[in-house]
Amino acid sequence: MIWMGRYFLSEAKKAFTYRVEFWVGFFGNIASQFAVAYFLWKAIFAQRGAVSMQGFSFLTLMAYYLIAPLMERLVHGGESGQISRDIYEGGLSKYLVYPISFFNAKLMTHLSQTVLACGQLCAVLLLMTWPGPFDLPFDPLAWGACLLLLGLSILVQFAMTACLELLAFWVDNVWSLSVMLRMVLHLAGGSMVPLVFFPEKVQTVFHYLPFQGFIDLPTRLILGHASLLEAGRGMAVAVIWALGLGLTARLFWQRGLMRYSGAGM
Amino acid sequence: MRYVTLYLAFLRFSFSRAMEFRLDFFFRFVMDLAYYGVNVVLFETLFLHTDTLGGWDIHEARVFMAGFLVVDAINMTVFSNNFYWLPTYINRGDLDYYLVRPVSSLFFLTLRDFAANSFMNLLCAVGILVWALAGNPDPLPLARLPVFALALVCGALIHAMIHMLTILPSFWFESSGGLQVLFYNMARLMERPDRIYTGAVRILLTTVLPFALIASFPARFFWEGLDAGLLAHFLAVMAGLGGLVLLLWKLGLRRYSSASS
Repeated sequence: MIWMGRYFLSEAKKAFTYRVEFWVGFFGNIASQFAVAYFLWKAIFAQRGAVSMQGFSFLTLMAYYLIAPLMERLVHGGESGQISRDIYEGGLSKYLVYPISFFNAKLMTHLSQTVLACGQLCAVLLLMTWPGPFDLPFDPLAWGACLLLLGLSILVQFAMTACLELLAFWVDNVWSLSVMLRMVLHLAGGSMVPLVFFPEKVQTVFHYLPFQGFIDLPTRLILGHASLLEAGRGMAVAVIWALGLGLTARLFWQRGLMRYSGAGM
Repeated sequence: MRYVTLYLAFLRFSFSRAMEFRLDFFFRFVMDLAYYGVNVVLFETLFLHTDTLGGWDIHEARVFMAGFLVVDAINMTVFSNNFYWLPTYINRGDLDYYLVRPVSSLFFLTLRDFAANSFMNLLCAVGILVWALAGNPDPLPLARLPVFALALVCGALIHAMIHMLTILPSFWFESSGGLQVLFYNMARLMERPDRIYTGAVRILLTTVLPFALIASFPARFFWEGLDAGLLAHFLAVMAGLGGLVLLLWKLGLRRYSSASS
Protein backbone atom coordinates (compact mmCIF):
# COMPACT_ATOMS: atom_id res chain seq x y z
CA MET A 1 0.00 0.00 0.00
CA ILE A 2 2.92 2.36 0.78
CA TRP A 3 4.15 2.13 -2.78
CA MET A 4 0.72 3.21 -4.00
CA GLY A 5 0.95 6.37 -1.88
CA ARG A 6 4.43 7.16 -3.19
CA TYR A 7 3.39 6.48 -6.75
CA PHE A 8 0.39 8.76 -6.28
CA LEU A 9 2.59 11.62 -5.00
CA SER A 10 5.11 11.27 -7.81
CA GLU A 11 2.33 11.28 -10.43
CA ALA A 12 0.69 14.29 -8.74
CA LYS A 13 3.98 16.22 -9.10
CA LYS A 14 3.98 15.41 -12.81
CA ALA A 15 0.42 16.71 -13.10
CA PHE A 16 1.55 20.07 -11.73
CA THR A 17 4.33 20.44 -14.33
CA TYR A 18 3.66 22.55 -17.44
CA ARG A 19 1.58 24.88 -15.29
CA VAL A 20 1.03 27.56 -17.93
CA GLU A 21 -0.54 25.13 -20.40
CA PHE A 22 -2.55 23.59 -17.58
CA TRP A 23 -4.04 26.88 -16.35
CA VAL A 24 -4.61 28.27 -19.84
CA GLY A 25 -6.46 25.06 -20.65
CA PHE A 26 -8.41 25.23 -17.42
CA PHE A 27 -9.55 28.85 -17.69
CA GLY A 28 -10.03 28.64 -21.46
CA ASN A 29 -12.29 25.63 -21.13
CA ILE A 30 -14.39 27.04 -18.29
CA ALA A 31 -14.64 30.53 -19.83
CA SER A 32 -15.54 29.41 -23.36
CA GLN A 33 -18.04 26.80 -22.17
CA PHE A 34 -19.64 29.30 -19.83
CA ALA A 35 -19.71 32.07 -22.47
CA VAL A 36 -21.43 29.79 -25.00
CA ALA A 37 -23.95 28.62 -22.38
CA TYR A 38 -24.60 32.15 -21.12
CA PHE A 39 -25.40 33.64 -24.52
CA LEU A 40 -27.26 30.56 -25.73
CA TRP A 41 -29.61 30.35 -22.75
CA LYS A 42 -29.97 34.10 -22.51
CA ALA A 43 -31.29 34.04 -26.08
CA ILE A 44 -33.58 31.07 -25.36
CA PHE A 45 -34.99 32.53 -22.11
CA ALA A 46 -35.57 35.87 -23.88
CA GLN A 47 -37.29 34.19 -26.83
CA ARG A 48 -39.55 32.15 -24.52
CA GLY A 49 -40.07 35.01 -22.08
CA ALA A 50 -39.73 32.35 -19.38
CA VAL A 51 -38.57 32.71 -15.77
CA SER A 52 -37.63 29.06 -15.48
CA MET A 53 -37.24 26.08 -17.78
CA GLN A 54 -37.36 22.43 -16.67
CA GLY A 55 -37.11 23.71 -13.10
CA PHE A 56 -33.99 25.78 -13.80
CA SER A 57 -33.98 29.56 -13.45
CA PHE A 58 -31.44 31.34 -15.66
CA LEU A 59 -29.14 31.87 -12.68
CA THR A 60 -29.32 28.22 -11.53
CA LEU A 61 -28.62 27.13 -15.06
CA MET A 62 -25.53 29.33 -15.11
CA ALA A 63 -24.44 27.81 -11.80
CA TYR A 64 -24.87 24.40 -13.45
CA TYR A 65 -22.58 25.46 -16.32
CA LEU A 66 -19.95 26.70 -13.88
CA ILE A 67 -19.89 23.47 -11.89
CA ALA A 68 -20.41 20.92 -14.70
CA PRO A 69 -17.02 21.38 -16.47
CA LEU A 70 -15.27 21.05 -13.12
CA MET A 71 -17.12 17.82 -12.40
CA GLU A 72 -16.19 16.56 -15.85
CA ARG A 73 -12.55 17.46 -15.28
CA LEU A 74 -12.58 15.74 -11.92
CA VAL A 75 -14.04 12.50 -13.22
CA HIS A 76 -12.11 12.43 -16.47
CA GLY A 77 -8.73 13.00 -14.84
CA GLY A 78 -5.91 14.23 -17.02
CA GLU A 79 -4.20 12.95 -20.08
CA SER A 80 -5.63 9.85 -21.72
CA GLY A 81 -3.55 7.29 -23.61
CA GLN A 82 -1.33 6.18 -20.72
CA ILE A 83 -2.18 2.51 -20.89
CA SER A 84 -2.16 2.29 -24.70
CA ARG A 85 1.18 4.15 -24.88
CA ASP A 86 2.77 1.58 -22.59
CA ILE A 87 1.46 -1.20 -24.81
CA TYR A 88 2.56 0.48 -28.06
CA GLU A 89 6.01 1.51 -26.84
CA GLY A 90 6.78 -1.62 -24.86
CA GLY A 91 6.78 0.27 -21.54
CA LEU A 92 4.41 -2.34 -20.15
CA SER A 93 7.34 -4.74 -19.73
CA LYS A 94 8.63 -2.94 -16.65
CA TYR A 95 5.32 -3.44 -14.86
CA LEU A 96 5.50 -7.16 -15.60
CA VAL A 97 8.75 -7.47 -13.68
CA TYR A 98 8.00 -4.88 -10.96
CA PRO A 99 6.36 -6.19 -7.77
CA ILE A 100 3.42 -3.81 -8.32
CA SER A 101 0.10 -4.19 -10.04
CA PHE A 102 -0.16 -2.45 -13.41
CA PHE A 103 -3.78 -1.48 -12.82
CA ASN A 104 -3.16 -0.12 -9.33
CA ALA A 105 -0.28 1.98 -10.67
CA LYS A 106 -2.44 3.36 -13.46
CA LEU A 107 -5.30 4.00 -11.04
CA MET A 108 -2.90 6.03 -8.87
CA THR A 109 -1.87 8.05 -11.96
CA HIS A 110 -5.54 8.63 -12.74
CA LEU A 111 -6.33 9.68 -9.15
CA SER A 112 -3.28 11.97 -8.96
CA GLN A 113 -4.60 13.84 -11.98
CA THR A 114 -7.92 14.40 -10.27
CA VAL A 115 -6.32 16.09 -7.23
CA LEU A 116 -5.97 19.48 -8.83
CA ALA A 117 -9.44 19.28 -10.38
CA CYS A 118 -10.78 18.43 -6.92
CA GLY A 119 -9.11 21.55 -5.47
CA GLN A 120 -10.54 23.70 -8.27
CA LEU A 121 -14.03 22.29 -7.74
CA CYS A 122 -13.86 22.87 -3.97
CA ALA A 123 -12.67 26.46 -4.46
CA VAL A 124 -15.49 27.26 -6.91
CA LEU A 125 -18.13 25.59 -4.70
CA LEU A 126 -16.87 27.51 -1.69
CA LEU A 127 -17.18 30.78 -3.60
CA MET A 128 -20.65 29.86 -4.78
CA THR A 129 -21.93 29.03 -1.30
CA TRP A 130 -20.88 32.53 -0.19
CA PRO A 131 -23.83 34.94 -0.09
CA GLY A 132 -23.99 36.35 -3.60
CA PRO A 133 -25.79 35.80 -6.88
CA PHE A 134 -25.63 31.99 -6.70
CA ASP A 135 -25.98 31.41 -2.97
CA LEU A 136 -25.76 27.60 -3.26
CA PRO A 137 -27.74 25.66 -0.65
CA PHE A 138 -25.48 23.59 1.62
CA ASP A 139 -27.13 20.27 2.36
CA PRO A 140 -24.54 17.96 3.99
CA LEU A 141 -26.43 14.83 2.94
CA ALA A 142 -26.67 15.89 -0.70
CA TRP A 143 -23.03 17.00 -0.77
CA GLY A 144 -21.95 13.70 0.84
CA ALA A 145 -23.97 11.73 -1.71
CA CYS A 146 -22.37 13.83 -4.45
CA LEU A 147 -18.90 13.00 -3.13
CA LEU A 148 -19.67 9.27 -3.01
CA LEU A 149 -21.15 9.35 -6.49
CA LEU A 150 -18.10 11.17 -7.84
CA GLY A 151 -15.80 8.58 -6.26
CA LEU A 152 -17.71 5.77 -7.96
CA SER A 153 -17.80 7.69 -11.24
CA ILE A 154 -14.01 8.09 -11.17
CA LEU A 155 -13.73 4.31 -10.87
CA VAL A 156 -16.21 3.77 -13.72
CA GLN A 157 -14.34 6.27 -15.90
CA PHE A 158 -11.04 4.55 -15.13
CA ALA A 159 -12.44 1.10 -15.93
CA MET A 160 -14.03 2.40 -19.13
CA THR A 161 -10.81 4.07 -20.28
CA ALA A 162 -8.85 0.92 -19.40
CA CYS A 163 -11.20 -1.23 -21.51
CA LEU A 164 -10.75 1.07 -24.51
CA GLU A 165 -7.02 1.46 -24.14
CA LEU A 166 -6.38 -2.24 -23.64
CA LEU A 167 -7.68 -2.67 -27.18
CA ALA A 168 -4.20 -1.39 -28.07
CA PHE A 169 -3.09 -5.04 -27.81
CA TRP A 170 -5.03 -5.66 -31.02
CA VAL A 171 -5.52 -2.27 -32.71
CA ASP A 172 -2.97 0.22 -34.16
CA ASN A 173 -4.49 3.38 -32.72
CA VAL A 174 -7.07 3.70 -29.93
CA TRP A 175 -6.78 7.47 -29.53
CA SER A 176 -9.86 8.07 -31.69
CA LEU A 177 -11.92 5.73 -29.47
CA SER A 178 -11.00 7.79 -26.40
CA VAL A 179 -12.02 11.00 -28.18
CA MET A 180 -15.30 9.37 -29.17
CA LEU A 181 -15.94 8.35 -25.58
CA ARG A 182 -15.32 11.92 -24.47
CA MET A 183 -17.87 13.23 -26.97
CA VAL A 184 -20.49 10.78 -25.78
CA LEU A 185 -19.69 11.73 -22.19
CA HIS A 186 -20.12 15.39 -23.13
CA LEU A 187 -23.63 14.81 -24.38
CA ALA A 188 -24.92 11.91 -22.26
CA GLY A 189 -23.18 13.20 -19.12
CA GLY A 190 -24.94 16.54 -19.25
CA SER A 191 -21.97 18.76 -19.97
CA MET A 192 -23.63 20.41 -22.98
CA VAL A 193 -27.21 20.54 -21.69
CA PRO A 194 -28.64 19.33 -18.35
CA LEU A 195 -30.22 15.96 -19.01
CA VAL A 196 -33.70 17.12 -17.93
CA PHE A 197 -33.88 19.07 -21.21
CA PHE A 198 -33.87 15.84 -23.25
CA PRO A 199 -37.13 14.05 -24.13
CA GLU A 200 -38.31 11.68 -21.39
CA LYS A 201 -37.59 8.50 -23.37
CA VAL A 202 -34.00 9.60 -23.90
CA GLN A 203 -33.71 10.47 -20.21
CA THR A 204 -34.84 6.94 -19.33
CA VAL A 205 -32.01 5.53 -21.45
CA PHE A 206 -29.54 7.93 -19.81
CA HIS A 207 -30.59 6.65 -16.36
CA TYR A 208 -29.13 3.24 -17.20
CA LEU A 209 -25.88 4.62 -18.61
CA PRO A 210 -22.98 5.48 -16.30
CA PHE A 211 -22.49 9.00 -17.72
CA GLN A 212 -25.27 10.69 -15.76
CA GLY A 213 -23.31 10.12 -12.56
CA PHE A 214 -20.24 11.82 -14.05
CA ILE A 215 -21.61 15.35 -14.45
CA ASP A 216 -25.37 15.89 -14.43
CA LEU A 217 -26.42 14.07 -11.27
CA PRO A 218 -23.60 15.30 -8.96
CA THR A 219 -24.10 18.85 -10.23
CA ARG A 220 -27.84 18.72 -9.65
CA LEU A 221 -27.26 17.27 -6.16
CA ILE A 222 -25.09 20.29 -5.32
CA LEU A 223 -27.71 22.65 -6.74
CA GLY A 224 -30.47 20.99 -4.72
CA HIS A 225 -32.18 19.79 -7.91
CA ALA A 226 -31.83 16.05 -7.31
CA SER A 227 -33.17 13.84 -4.54
CA LEU A 228 -31.19 11.35 -2.45
CA LEU A 229 -33.26 8.62 -4.08
CA GLU A 230 -31.92 9.68 -7.48
CA ALA A 231 -28.42 9.72 -5.99
CA GLY A 232 -28.89 6.19 -4.65
CA ARG A 233 -30.09 4.95 -8.03
CA GLY A 234 -27.13 6.67 -9.71
CA MET A 235 -24.73 4.97 -7.30
CA ALA A 236 -26.28 1.55 -7.93
CA VAL A 237 -25.92 2.07 -11.69
CA ALA A 238 -22.29 3.20 -11.19
CA VAL A 239 -21.45 0.10 -9.08
CA ILE A 240 -22.92 -2.22 -11.72
CA TRP A 241 -21.00 -0.49 -14.51
CA ALA A 242 -17.76 -0.42 -12.48
CA LEU A 243 -18.01 -4.17 -11.85
CA GLY A 244 -18.92 -4.97 -15.45
CA LEU A 245 -16.23 -2.80 -16.95
CA GLY A 246 -13.65 -3.95 -14.39
CA LEU A 247 -14.28 -7.60 -15.33
CA THR A 248 -14.13 -6.73 -19.03
CA ALA A 249 -10.82 -4.91 -18.52
CA ARG A 250 -9.46 -7.94 -16.67
CA LEU A 251 -10.48 -10.22 -19.53
CA PHE A 252 -8.88 -7.90 -22.11
CA TRP A 253 -5.73 -7.75 -19.98
CA GLN A 254 -5.42 -11.53 -19.72
CA ARG A 255 -6.05 -12.08 -23.42
CA GLY A 256 -3.92 -9.10 -24.45
CA LEU A 257 -0.88 -10.20 -22.49
CA MET A 258 -0.79 -13.38 -24.57
CA ARG A 259 -0.23 -11.19 -27.65
CA TYR A 260 2.22 -8.76 -26.03
CA SER A 261 5.77 -9.03 -27.32
CA GLY A 262 7.39 -6.13 -25.40
CA ALA A 263 9.11 -4.94 -28.56
CA GLY A 264 7.04 -1.80 -29.02
CA MET A 265 5.71 -0.67 -32.40
CA MET B 1 -0.14 24.37 -62.39
CA ARG B 2 2.98 23.11 -60.64
CA TYR B 3 1.20 23.48 -57.29
CA VAL B 4 -1.89 21.65 -58.54
CA THR B 5 0.29 18.73 -59.70
CA LEU B 6 2.07 18.76 -56.36
CA TYR B 7 -1.22 18.78 -54.44
CA LEU B 8 -2.48 15.83 -56.49
CA ALA B 9 0.68 13.97 -55.47
CA PHE B 10 -0.06 14.81 -51.81
CA LEU B 11 -3.56 13.36 -52.26
CA ARG B 12 -2.24 10.17 -53.85
CA PHE B 13 0.26 9.57 -51.04
CA SER B 14 -2.26 10.40 -48.32
CA PHE B 15 -4.87 7.97 -49.64
CA SER B 16 -2.41 5.14 -50.09
CA ARG B 17 -1.02 5.70 -46.58
CA ALA B 18 -4.53 5.75 -45.08
CA MET B 19 -5.30 2.40 -46.69
CA GLU B 20 -2.36 0.83 -44.83
CA PHE B 21 -4.11 1.32 -41.48
CA ARG B 22 -7.70 0.43 -42.28
CA LEU B 23 -8.97 -0.06 -38.74
CA ASP B 24 -7.48 3.26 -37.65
CA PHE B 25 -9.07 4.84 -40.74
CA PHE B 26 -12.44 3.41 -39.69
CA PHE B 27 -12.10 4.50 -36.03
CA ARG B 28 -11.23 8.06 -37.02
CA PHE B 29 -14.16 8.12 -39.41
CA VAL B 30 -16.54 6.95 -36.67
CA MET B 31 -15.03 9.46 -34.21
CA ASP B 32 -15.97 12.39 -36.43
CA LEU B 33 -19.38 10.87 -37.06
CA ALA B 34 -19.87 10.88 -33.28
CA TYR B 35 -19.08 14.61 -33.27
CA TYR B 36 -21.71 15.18 -35.97
CA GLY B 37 -24.24 13.04 -34.12
CA VAL B 38 -23.70 14.91 -30.86
CA ASN B 39 -24.30 18.26 -32.58
CA VAL B 40 -27.42 17.11 -34.42
CA VAL B 41 -28.89 15.74 -31.17
CA LEU B 42 -27.95 18.93 -29.32
CA PHE B 43 -29.67 21.24 -31.82
CA GLU B 44 -32.76 19.04 -31.98
CA THR B 45 -32.91 19.07 -28.16
CA LEU B 46 -32.50 22.85 -27.93
CA PHE B 47 -35.36 23.36 -30.38
CA LEU B 48 -37.65 21.33 -28.13
CA HIS B 49 -37.47 24.35 -25.82
CA THR B 50 -37.41 27.29 -28.20
CA ASP B 51 -38.89 28.28 -31.57
CA THR B 52 -35.95 30.33 -32.76
CA LEU B 53 -32.27 30.64 -32.01
CA GLY B 54 -30.36 33.73 -33.07
CA GLY B 55 -33.28 34.65 -35.33
CA TRP B 56 -33.38 31.26 -37.09
CA ASP B 57 -36.10 28.61 -36.86
CA ILE B 58 -35.17 24.93 -36.62
CA HIS B 59 -34.86 24.48 -40.41
CA GLU B 60 -32.58 27.48 -40.81
CA ALA B 61 -30.56 26.53 -37.73
CA ARG B 62 -30.08 23.00 -39.10
CA VAL B 63 -28.50 24.47 -42.23
CA PHE B 64 -26.25 26.64 -40.04
CA MET B 65 -25.30 23.58 -37.96
CA ALA B 66 -24.56 21.52 -41.05
CA GLY B 67 -22.51 24.48 -42.29
CA PHE B 68 -20.18 24.42 -39.29
CA LEU B 69 -19.90 20.64 -39.58
CA VAL B 70 -18.73 21.14 -43.19
CA VAL B 71 -16.25 23.83 -42.05
CA ASP B 72 -14.93 21.48 -39.40
CA ALA B 73 -14.66 18.61 -41.87
CA ILE B 74 -12.75 20.76 -44.39
CA ASN B 75 -10.29 21.72 -41.67
CA MET B 76 -9.90 18.16 -40.44
CA THR B 77 -9.35 16.97 -44.01
CA VAL B 78 -7.03 19.63 -45.35
CA PHE B 79 -5.16 21.25 -42.47
CA SER B 80 -5.51 19.37 -39.19
CA ASN B 81 -2.73 16.76 -39.55
CA ASN B 82 -0.32 19.37 -40.90
CA PHE B 83 -1.05 21.81 -38.09
CA TYR B 84 -0.55 19.03 -35.54
CA TRP B 85 3.05 18.45 -36.64
CA LEU B 86 4.09 22.02 -37.45
CA PRO B 87 5.04 23.13 -33.89
CA THR B 88 7.13 19.95 -33.52
CA TYR B 89 9.01 20.70 -36.76
CA ILE B 90 9.68 24.25 -35.61
CA ASN B 91 10.83 23.29 -32.10
CA ARG B 92 12.98 20.37 -33.23
CA GLY B 93 14.63 22.34 -36.01
CA ASP B 94 13.14 20.02 -38.63
CA LEU B 95 11.95 22.80 -40.94
CA ASP B 96 15.20 22.81 -42.94
CA TYR B 97 14.04 19.84 -44.96
CA TYR B 98 11.05 21.87 -46.19
CA LEU B 99 12.76 25.23 -46.55
CA VAL B 100 15.24 23.99 -49.14
CA ARG B 101 12.52 22.70 -51.47
CA PRO B 102 11.72 24.72 -54.60
CA VAL B 103 8.12 25.38 -53.53
CA SER B 104 6.50 27.67 -50.97
CA SER B 105 7.31 26.27 -47.54
CA LEU B 106 3.97 27.51 -46.20
CA PHE B 107 2.13 25.66 -48.99
CA PHE B 108 4.12 22.49 -48.41
CA LEU B 109 3.86 22.45 -44.63
CA THR B 110 0.18 23.32 -44.35
CA LEU B 111 -1.19 21.14 -47.16
CA ARG B 112 1.11 18.13 -47.45
CA ASP B 113 -0.91 15.69 -45.33
CA PHE B 114 -4.46 15.26 -46.59
CA ALA B 115 -6.57 13.29 -44.06
CA ALA B 116 -8.28 10.68 -46.22
CA ASN B 117 -10.54 9.46 -43.40
CA SER B 118 -11.76 13.00 -42.76
CA PHE B 119 -12.54 13.32 -46.45
CA MET B 120 -15.12 10.58 -45.93
CA ASN B 121 -16.43 12.64 -43.00
CA LEU B 122 -16.58 15.69 -45.24
CA LEU B 123 -18.88 13.73 -47.55
CA CYS B 124 -21.05 12.84 -44.52
CA ALA B 125 -21.13 16.49 -43.40
CA VAL B 126 -22.26 17.48 -46.89
CA GLY B 127 -24.90 14.75 -46.58
CA ILE B 128 -26.15 16.33 -43.35
CA LEU B 129 -26.27 19.68 -45.16
CA VAL B 130 -28.35 18.14 -47.95
CA TRP B 131 -30.67 16.62 -45.31
CA ALA B 132 -30.99 20.01 -43.59
CA LEU B 133 -31.78 21.75 -46.89
CA ALA B 134 -34.23 19.08 -48.00
CA GLY B 135 -36.12 19.28 -44.70
CA ASN B 136 -36.96 22.94 -45.18
CA PRO B 137 -40.71 23.20 -45.91
CA ASP B 138 -40.45 26.55 -47.75
CA PRO B 139 -38.91 27.05 -51.21
CA LEU B 140 -35.13 27.30 -50.89
CA PRO B 141 -33.12 30.22 -52.30
CA LEU B 142 -31.16 27.78 -54.45
CA ALA B 143 -29.55 30.55 -56.50
CA ARG B 144 -27.59 31.48 -53.38
CA LEU B 145 -26.23 27.95 -52.92
CA PRO B 146 -22.92 28.61 -54.78
CA VAL B 147 -22.31 31.71 -52.61
CA PHE B 148 -23.10 29.66 -49.49
CA ALA B 149 -20.65 26.94 -50.55
CA LEU B 150 -17.93 29.48 -51.35
CA ALA B 151 -18.51 31.30 -48.06
CA LEU B 152 -18.20 28.01 -46.16
CA VAL B 153 -14.82 27.40 -47.81
CA CYS B 154 -13.81 30.95 -46.79
CA GLY B 155 -15.08 30.20 -43.27
CA ALA B 156 -12.87 27.12 -43.20
CA LEU B 157 -9.92 29.29 -44.27
CA ILE B 158 -10.65 31.77 -41.48
CA HIS B 159 -10.79 28.88 -39.00
CA ALA B 160 -7.46 27.57 -40.32
CA MET B 161 -5.83 31.00 -40.16
CA ILE B 162 -6.88 31.58 -36.55
CA HIS B 163 -5.47 28.13 -35.74
CA MET B 164 -2.26 29.02 -37.57
CA LEU B 165 -1.94 32.19 -35.47
CA THR B 166 -1.87 30.02 -32.35
CA ILE B 167 0.86 27.82 -33.84
CA LEU B 168 3.22 30.51 -35.17
CA PRO B 169 4.36 31.66 -31.69
CA SER B 170 6.32 28.35 -31.68
CA PHE B 171 9.01 30.29 -33.56
CA TRP B 172 9.50 32.50 -30.50
CA PHE B 173 8.52 30.29 -27.58
CA GLU B 174 9.40 26.78 -26.53
CA SER B 175 5.82 25.64 -26.83
CA SER B 176 2.59 27.07 -28.18
CA GLY B 177 0.56 24.25 -26.64
CA GLY B 178 -1.30 26.55 -24.25
CA LEU B 179 -2.47 28.80 -27.10
CA GLN B 180 -3.60 25.81 -29.10
CA VAL B 181 -5.59 24.47 -26.18
CA LEU B 182 -7.17 27.91 -25.97
CA PHE B 183 -7.95 27.78 -29.70
CA TYR B 184 -9.69 24.41 -29.41
CA ASN B 185 -11.72 25.68 -26.47
CA MET B 186 -12.69 28.90 -28.20
CA ALA B 187 -13.54 27.14 -31.47
CA ARG B 188 -16.80 26.00 -29.87
CA LEU B 189 -17.96 29.63 -30.08
CA MET B 190 -18.45 29.16 -33.83
CA GLU B 191 -20.98 26.41 -33.16
CA ARG B 192 -23.75 28.82 -32.20
CA PRO B 193 -25.46 31.50 -34.34
CA ASP B 194 -23.57 34.81 -34.20
CA ARG B 195 -26.67 36.79 -33.24
CA ILE B 196 -26.93 35.19 -29.81
CA TYR B 197 -23.75 37.06 -28.84
CA THR B 198 -24.33 40.62 -27.74
CA GLY B 199 -22.36 43.72 -26.71
CA ALA B 200 -18.59 43.76 -26.56
CA VAL B 201 -18.37 39.96 -26.84
CA ARG B 202 -20.15 40.12 -30.18
CA ILE B 203 -17.73 42.76 -31.48
CA LEU B 204 -14.78 40.68 -30.26
CA LEU B 205 -16.10 37.49 -31.83
CA THR B 206 -16.71 39.06 -35.22
CA THR B 207 -13.46 41.03 -35.49
CA VAL B 208 -10.40 40.21 -33.38
CA LEU B 209 -11.37 36.62 -32.60
CA PRO B 210 -13.74 36.04 -35.52
CA PHE B 211 -15.08 32.63 -34.50
CA ALA B 212 -18.68 33.82 -34.64
CA LEU B 213 -18.57 34.64 -38.34
CA ILE B 214 -17.00 31.37 -39.56
CA ALA B 215 -20.28 29.51 -40.09
CA SER B 216 -22.88 32.13 -39.20
CA PHE B 217 -22.10 34.59 -41.99
CA PRO B 218 -22.26 31.94 -44.73
CA ALA B 219 -25.66 30.82 -43.37
CA ARG B 220 -26.81 34.45 -43.29
CA PHE B 221 -25.69 34.93 -46.91
CA PHE B 222 -27.81 31.91 -47.78
CA TRP B 223 -30.97 32.73 -45.83
CA GLU B 224 -30.93 36.52 -46.03
CA GLY B 225 -29.11 37.22 -49.29
CA LEU B 226 -25.81 38.96 -49.90
CA ASP B 227 -25.62 42.07 -47.77
CA ALA B 228 -22.80 44.33 -48.99
CA GLY B 229 -21.78 45.39 -45.48
CA LEU B 230 -21.75 41.84 -44.18
CA LEU B 231 -19.78 40.61 -47.20
CA ALA B 232 -17.22 43.43 -46.83
CA HIS B 233 -16.86 42.60 -43.14
CA PHE B 234 -16.34 38.91 -43.93
CA LEU B 235 -13.77 39.57 -46.65
CA ALA B 236 -11.94 42.22 -44.59
CA VAL B 237 -11.53 39.80 -41.67
CA MET B 238 -10.29 37.10 -44.03
CA ALA B 239 -7.81 39.42 -45.73
CA GLY B 240 -6.61 40.79 -42.38
CA LEU B 241 -6.02 37.31 -41.01
CA GLY B 242 -4.30 36.22 -44.22
CA GLY B 243 -1.95 39.21 -44.11
CA LEU B 244 -1.15 38.58 -40.45
CA VAL B 245 -0.40 34.90 -41.01
CA LEU B 246 1.93 35.68 -43.94
CA LEU B 247 3.70 38.41 -41.97
CA LEU B 248 4.21 36.22 -38.89
CA TRP B 249 5.33 33.30 -41.05
CA LYS B 250 8.01 35.48 -42.68
CA LEU B 251 9.11 36.94 -39.34
CA GLY B 252 9.13 33.45 -37.85
CA LEU B 253 11.30 32.05 -40.62
CA ARG B 254 13.73 34.94 -40.11
CA ARG B 255 13.88 34.02 -36.44
CA TYR B 256 14.20 30.27 -37.12
CA SER B 257 17.73 29.02 -36.49
CA SER B 258 17.43 25.28 -37.27
CA ALA B 259 18.53 24.51 -33.73
CA SER B 260 16.09 22.51 -31.71
CA SER B 261 14.73 24.02 -28.52
